[in-house]
Amino acid sequence: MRTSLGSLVLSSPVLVAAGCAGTGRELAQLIPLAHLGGLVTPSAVLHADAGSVSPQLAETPSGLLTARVPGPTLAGLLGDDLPWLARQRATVIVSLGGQSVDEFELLAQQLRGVAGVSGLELNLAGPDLDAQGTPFEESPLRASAVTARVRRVTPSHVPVLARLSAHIADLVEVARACMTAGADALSLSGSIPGMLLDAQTLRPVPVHSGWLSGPAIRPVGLRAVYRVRAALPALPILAAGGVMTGPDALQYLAAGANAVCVGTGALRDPLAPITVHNALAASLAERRLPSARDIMGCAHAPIPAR
Amino acid sequence: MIRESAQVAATRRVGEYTVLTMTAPGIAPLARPGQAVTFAVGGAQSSLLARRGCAIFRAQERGVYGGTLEIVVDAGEPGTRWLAERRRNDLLDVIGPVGRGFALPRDPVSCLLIGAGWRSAGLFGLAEALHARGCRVDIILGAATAERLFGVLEARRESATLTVLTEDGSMGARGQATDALDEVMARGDTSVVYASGPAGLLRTVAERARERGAVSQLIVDVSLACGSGGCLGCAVWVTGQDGNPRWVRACVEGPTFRGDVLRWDRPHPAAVLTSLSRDGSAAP
Ligand SMILES: Cc1cc2nc3c(=O)[nH]c(=O)nc-3n(C[C@H](O)[C@H](O)[C@H](O)COP(=O)(O)O)c2cc1C
Ligand code: FES
Repeated sequence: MRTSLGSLVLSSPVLVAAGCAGTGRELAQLIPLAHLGGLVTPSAVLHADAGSVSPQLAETPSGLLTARVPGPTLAGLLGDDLPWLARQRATVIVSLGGQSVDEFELLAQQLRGVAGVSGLELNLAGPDLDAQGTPFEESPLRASAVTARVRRVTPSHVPVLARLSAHIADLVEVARACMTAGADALSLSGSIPGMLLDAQTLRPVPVHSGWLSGPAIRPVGLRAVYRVRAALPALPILAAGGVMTGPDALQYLAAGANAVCVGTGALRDPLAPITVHNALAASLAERRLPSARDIMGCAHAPIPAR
Repeated sequence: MIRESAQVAATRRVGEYTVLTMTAPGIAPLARPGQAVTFAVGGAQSSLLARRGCAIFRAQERGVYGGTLEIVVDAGEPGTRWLAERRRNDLLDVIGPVGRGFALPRDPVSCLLIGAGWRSAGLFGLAEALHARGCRVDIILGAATAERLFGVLEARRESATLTVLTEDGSMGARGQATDALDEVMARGDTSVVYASGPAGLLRTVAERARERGAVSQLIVDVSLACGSGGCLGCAVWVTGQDGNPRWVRACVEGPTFRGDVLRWDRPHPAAVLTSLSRDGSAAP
């Protein structure tokens, strides 16, 4: 079930989402990382900032609400994790979490020529410190500036994926701007903002500005993929949002994704990426379709007459 | 660490808790005292996505059915209630052993084990291992009520002295487990204290042990929402080897920590999972 994201050919259309398996060391005890379509790393940062945010997690109906904490430093990834991942023969997409356009460029520069980096994912949901902390993805201008600068310093055989969240107002416009700026593919979408109140105190629980993931957001993610695919037919899409089972992945492919990420699903069941892959293969076989490509985007065409 | 489908072999009630015995021939022989396991709860279609972590009460390498694991469930929220409702022959998605077990003393020193409520369960495998090394073992068990104590019978068998305290005085002395710390440590000339309980108890144990020149080893009270290093929900604020504070994952570098490594200037974040679910905000 090969698929591709721009120039990157993947052995499976099922990957592990950014931040949902760390850098893979624990997951590797349970499944061979080489069997995954790929692993997206947690969003790497330029400077360590240990104490700024407390990691937090709360369970909500069919979802998880997590506080987004600063990821590993790129230096740490370069020193330990990427060489180790390369030895596991894992396909690795490094997620970058810059806090300014310049930081994104610096991060990308440091990854030039590093062995075992198959792609870069730009986490554009983070705050842009040069724009009063407005997330990059909320401005077509800022999102495309990051994309263009990273694309310029990244070797052409390494695809650059712009990650956008499903809830942003101008999703299609921002996606178009990133494509024009040189994005080879989109990563759609990350988690979406949510909150919880403590049932007793009726005040925000510690995870008061959390990010919601899991099946609770699947319909939101599916619509985002469908809209962007309709508007930008040529742009490859790596989808994410609530994929737990084979049928979930099939729906994302049908809506127009070229590959899917399993995030929360892999937290509940670390074997889920493999199970989803196998179930997907089985349902393609059942439909007598030779490759995943034959199902991609089919939701946009009328059901063929028999 | 492996994942297996464990079959429930037996269930029994102990006070307010449920003890589940399951066959887990892969995990049981690997388990060390202090390590945990995690379960997916609610079945395949469940809306409960966080796994539930549980200390290993007993791990037996071989039995009639191969290796078995025993865990103690406090059915305080929908996920653990689902676990407690499992019946013989039901299958459980279990991952383990999770994290690192307790460090055991090289010499036959005097040890104190102190546990509160169902969390005491994580200390019993340790008691056996300490005996095997010729250590003296004193035990303190505490809980709100007699029904919420766990392991009094086992503790009596495994200890030189056993001290029981309940907050309502329904069994043993009235008070909290830590009330007996000074007296028992003085009497046993304790060198190492092992503790499992809520954050308040752990902090008191760590401080008291330091004052008395003893080493403390604690099982932190955080939820293990994935148990495989991905979610960061189990993060614990510690002093790193370089002396700087940092977050580490209890499911990787814990759940056992030396008391002098844990820092108390930030709340233990992962308690959020349990405090929320207790209000019934999520149903299976
Ligand atoms: C614990 C956790 C950590 C995450 N860390 C990152 C991250 O570092 N960078 C990022 O771009 N997305 C991160 N995400 C978002 C996921 O990559 C994914 O896009 C999102 O959770 C939706 O997919 P899911 O519903 O399958 O989880 C994280 C999500 C979770 C639950
Ligand atoms: S329990 Fe998820 S990272 Fe530790």
